[in-house]
Amino acid sequence: MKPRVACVDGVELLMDYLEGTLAPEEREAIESHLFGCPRCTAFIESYRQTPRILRAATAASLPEDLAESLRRFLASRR
Amino acid sequence: MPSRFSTWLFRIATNAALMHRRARARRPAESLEACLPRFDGDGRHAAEPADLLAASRADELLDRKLLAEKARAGLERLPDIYRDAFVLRDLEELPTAEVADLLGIDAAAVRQRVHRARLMLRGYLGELMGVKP
Repeated sequence: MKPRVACVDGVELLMDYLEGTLAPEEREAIESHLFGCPRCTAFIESYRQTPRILRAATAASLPEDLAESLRRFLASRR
Repeated sequence: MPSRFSTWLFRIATNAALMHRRARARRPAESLEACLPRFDGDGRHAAEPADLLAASRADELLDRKLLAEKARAGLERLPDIYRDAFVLRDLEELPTAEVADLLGIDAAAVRQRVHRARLMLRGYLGELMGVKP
């Protein structure tokens, strides 16, 4: 019999689930909850998008003085 | 100079700066603990699906410059150990094993720290979108 899983359990194990480090039985139990739960489906989507959003946002957010000195450095290397 | 190289260099500089913020004497007063997801007594998400999804649209709906400022502010509000792991794993996109080597911890600890950082930052993005965690 599969262990009963609630949203809180799925969230706790989400990273391990996404990285594929869970035992098969645990993975199956998490999947049967996560994909039948609209709240968890929405949560997973936002959890998965978070690193991408932060990566894109911080890539363009270098302070202007540092950006300028890097531009000069890059120009000097041409 | 290939643009990929300059993009890479900019990212390295930004992330190095973020990691070195830990050397500052003063820490921001407010952490991101309050941005962690909330559950009811049965362990179900307390928020509705639309609110739980909101963070994923932050880059579509928020002004790009504002999001860039808020993203850096959010990263600074992470506890040091979570920020370092997140920067290396999710911003630098290093493999978990490599992050573990760099930080001198095991892979399970890396996953745990990155997970906590993602949870906090996800809630923070949702907060920027006007929803509760």
